[in-house]
Amino acid sequence: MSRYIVRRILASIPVLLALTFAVFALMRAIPGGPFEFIGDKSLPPSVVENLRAKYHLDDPLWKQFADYVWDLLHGDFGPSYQYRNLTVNDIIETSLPVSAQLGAMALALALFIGIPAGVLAALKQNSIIDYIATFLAIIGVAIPSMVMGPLLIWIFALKLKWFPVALWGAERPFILGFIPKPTPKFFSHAVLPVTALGTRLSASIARLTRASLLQVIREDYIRTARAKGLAEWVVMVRHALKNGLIPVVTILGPMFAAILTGTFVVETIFGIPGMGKYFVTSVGNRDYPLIVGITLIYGVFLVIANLMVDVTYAWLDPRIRYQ
Amino acid sequence: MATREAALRIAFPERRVRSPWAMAFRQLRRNRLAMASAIFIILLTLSAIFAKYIAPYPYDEANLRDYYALPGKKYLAGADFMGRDILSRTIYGTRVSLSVAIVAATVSLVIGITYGLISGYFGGRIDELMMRVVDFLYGIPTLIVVILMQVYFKALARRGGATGLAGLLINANKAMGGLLFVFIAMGLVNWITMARITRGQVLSYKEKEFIEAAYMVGASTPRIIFRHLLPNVLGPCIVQETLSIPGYILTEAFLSFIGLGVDPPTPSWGLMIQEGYQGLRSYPHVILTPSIALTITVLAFNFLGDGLRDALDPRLYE
Repeated sequence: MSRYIVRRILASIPVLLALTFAVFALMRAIPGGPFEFIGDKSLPPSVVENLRAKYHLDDPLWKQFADYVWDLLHGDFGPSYQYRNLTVNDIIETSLPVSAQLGAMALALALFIGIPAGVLAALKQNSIIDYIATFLAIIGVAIPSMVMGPLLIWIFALKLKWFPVALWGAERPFILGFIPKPTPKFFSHAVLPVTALGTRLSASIARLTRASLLQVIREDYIRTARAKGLAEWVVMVRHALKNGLIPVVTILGPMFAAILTGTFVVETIFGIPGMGKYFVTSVGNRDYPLIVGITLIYGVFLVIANLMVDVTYAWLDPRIRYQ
Repeated sequence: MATREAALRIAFPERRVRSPWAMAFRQLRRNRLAMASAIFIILLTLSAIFAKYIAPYPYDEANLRDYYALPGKKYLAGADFMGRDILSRTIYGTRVSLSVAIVAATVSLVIGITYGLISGYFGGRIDELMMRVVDFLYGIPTLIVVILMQVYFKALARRGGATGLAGLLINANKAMGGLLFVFIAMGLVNWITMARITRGQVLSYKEKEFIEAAYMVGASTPRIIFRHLLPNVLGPCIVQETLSIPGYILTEAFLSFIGLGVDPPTPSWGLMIQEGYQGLRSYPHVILTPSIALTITVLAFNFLGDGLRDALDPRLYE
């Protein structure tokens, strides 16, 4: 088991390196540096020269990359080109917890609604509950977050006025750096964005759980368990559920990625100051270090998430380990 | 497919056994949801092709006095913030979404299937090497790559004056309303799944007797691969690709939403949703039509994919 883990970790490292280099090279290759214009006026060439020298933009590419990686290993992402008085570290420090809160709550919503719904639908197959759940799940999967977001805003914030329209109600400082204080203001601000982000995921989890559980219930070992006289709920929870949830684990990897990219849209729609929003704006303003920094963090996060998913899957299904 | 047909003839000598494709099609026809989706997609394709004749207004005709007009006799679905007819823009928007679906799916299928066929058939060291490459590429977060590619090409195009291959691509891009790179990027990042499925199929079919028989009769390697392996491999690949198409459409909408997709004024549903979102508080009708169009199209491809998957399921009985 540990050999498998080590193998997977070693396989992830070249991916991270390649990602870093690719992002870095691409950003440097884009024509039109960050210092040529301020507003509508172009800077005089001598000023541009000085700025380029300060940010080491004149060094050969490999040297810039080496410097960058060295700084990275020391935890320094460099300055931001668009917010001149901030470093990338500052921006990430303020925005990452917000995105993490949003993402984590959406994931929790997806799991705590999706899995029970799927289980219920499978247990009561072809009943009214099943039809309603399947119907809702199909609709949920099809509506993208960029449609769901404005829809929720329009119905619940503008018409019914139950929730605030936008912004994130978490007050700093956070506990442990990222846990928000559970005030009512926080929850009321959080409901709509988390729902917009999480419904699609919970719908696909529900469908997957239902399909997989339907298969598992028909297996012979479930019949054996029942024949042995175990109570129905014991059969379900201890035998059926454990195996039925394996497919859900396999899609956890793509799900993390979906949550991540979903935050771009949801944060833009709801005006939430998270990493997604900064990413989108920094792309427009060609803020190289910020783009590279955020991309790296996303990349690292995704690689680690995939790694954990693979390890969990190997733990659940021992056949995987021996590939 | 040859084995399945032979097996069916032996097992059910009294039934009429058509070719597996025909039988799968019959199975599909029974699935009314899938059929409805297929018809809807055909209608969508027709309206994309004949958009010029169907749409009441051209998609970029801005009558600024009619900005945010409500749905009525003049503008059946209302007008957006520049006075452009929403219905017409939605109809033209089908072009963008459908071409994204087709190009990305084709690129992904062609590259993925070829890769999987080669890797699976030759096996051994070649297979291992190719799969290592695939595993490596699989770890790279694809959407981020697509976004970065878009940023790069848009910056390049903004600069103008790029010569050589880049210039040619940029001009082709402009002709397509700014979408060429999105197409290619999305097909390029998705071929990996296709390659894996193909390879799995090839590995399981490689040992079958009819392949051995073909080899012994003297069939050349390409002939074996394309004439015998490919038809059997195609089924699951097509199902998988059909189910990926909603992903392509949504990715394009997402990119257009954050401004990295089509260049305005080319209408894309994602772009229209973003424009409509600006005026959500006072003019909610603007966002309605493209949202509905996007949702229903995604639903249609989902149902069709599910139907195909059920129809092509290896069931040896009717």
